[in-house]
Amino acid sequence: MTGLACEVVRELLPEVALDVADARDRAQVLAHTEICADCRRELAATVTVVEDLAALAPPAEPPAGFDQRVLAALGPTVDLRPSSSLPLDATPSASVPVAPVPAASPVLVATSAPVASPVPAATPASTRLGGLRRSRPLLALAAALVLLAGVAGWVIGHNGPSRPAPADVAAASLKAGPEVVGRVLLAGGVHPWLAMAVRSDPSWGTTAATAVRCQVETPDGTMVTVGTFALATQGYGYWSAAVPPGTVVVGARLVDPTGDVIAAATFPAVRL
Amino acid sequence: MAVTDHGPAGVVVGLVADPAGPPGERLSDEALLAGFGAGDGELGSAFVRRFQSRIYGTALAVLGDPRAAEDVAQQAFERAWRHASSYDPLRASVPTWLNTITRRLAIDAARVRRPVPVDAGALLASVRAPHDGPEDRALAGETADQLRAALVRLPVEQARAVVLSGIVGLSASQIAESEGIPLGTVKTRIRAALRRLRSDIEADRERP
Repeated sequence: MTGLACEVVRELLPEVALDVADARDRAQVLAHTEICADCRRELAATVTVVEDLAALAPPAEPPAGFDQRVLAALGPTVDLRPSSSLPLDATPSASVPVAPVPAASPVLVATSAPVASPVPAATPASTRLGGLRRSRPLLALAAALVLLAGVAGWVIGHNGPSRPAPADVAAASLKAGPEVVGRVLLAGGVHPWLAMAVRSDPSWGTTAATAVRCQVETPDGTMVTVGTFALATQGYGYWSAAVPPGTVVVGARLVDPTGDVIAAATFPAVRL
Repeated sequence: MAVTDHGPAGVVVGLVADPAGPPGERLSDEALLAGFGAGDGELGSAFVRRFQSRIYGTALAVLGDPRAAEDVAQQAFERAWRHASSYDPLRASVPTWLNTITRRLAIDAARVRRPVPVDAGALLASVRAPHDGPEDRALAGETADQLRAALVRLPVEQARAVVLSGIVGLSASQIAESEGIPLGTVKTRIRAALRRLRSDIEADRERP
């Protein structure tokens, strides 16, 4: 591209970056920046300044009830049941559909190296047994699910031209003896995964250094380890991991280093 | 609770919900966005509440009319919901991404509305002053402070022009008309202001 064209582009560039240019100028500038790296960099840098400047707009409280109106407007096409409405001790046959995603269906793709999670640093949770709301593991599990989707090494992408339908999620309570101590979710699709929320108990004797294994059980009794993590003496842990596609899962369990089963969940045979 | 280790098949994530606070409030912007996009009621509500004053404020700055601003703010959240799965954290932060969506919608809406007079001086004063509230400060961060300082250092006519275009979304010709100055002068001021803001911020970042 000739120097003259760049000079003309640089004149138009500020208004394009500000999103106030007319359509023709915008098209010309964008066409030029497709092939001119210098102008492309200049535009990108100017856009960054504009974005930062636009962020200085004084915040203002919207009218009361705005958030509810926003969610209500999205209501007809999306499952907005609060995660806490899921019964804590749902029968293993309960199937919880993932909210249908309009237009494109996201596919979870693991990056080759996990990205450092922007999740806030964990703080020890000093919880009394049974002192927390019943819904907490479920909401926390929902949080773990969305963390799986959005951060910590997972990139939400699209699977090219073939977009799988959103996968159903099978859910089951995680029990240590008769007591419910958490929740397990299984999701199928192109990249099946398992997510687990568990409230640990001092009687388990686990510490921050204890590595527990999460395993899924197949119909023939085989245990497939899908991940290991540290489970402290008290508090919640949430984590998720990929499960090999095609695995048929009839149960999930946490196992301590000695091989003892800490907690377990059962499912009807779920093919992931 | 210790952060978890990696399993053989994938990534593990560790997080502790703070029993003392509402669960949604301690999650990152990205996590709330993902929950919002996935249709989770509580996370979606937390997402809207976290960003509503910023989004509404941006729309109001462009449109000047509360009802129009609310319409646009609602559209912005709807668009964010629809495009949550294509949000790229490497490209922009969630607040920036949301704000850009909102600003574009508002500018488009402003094109078909009767313009509302803007008090450029009052807006400039408001923009230069830090907003109160820890949430806003947390969202805006260091860059906002640097930018405000840089705006204060600009000649006032450049600051007015760049704020009218950057925040109110007026084109150079609209600014020329409303301020009663030649179009070429406005364009020169905007361009000079943007260049100066950019070099000031870059210099601040390089400072030890």
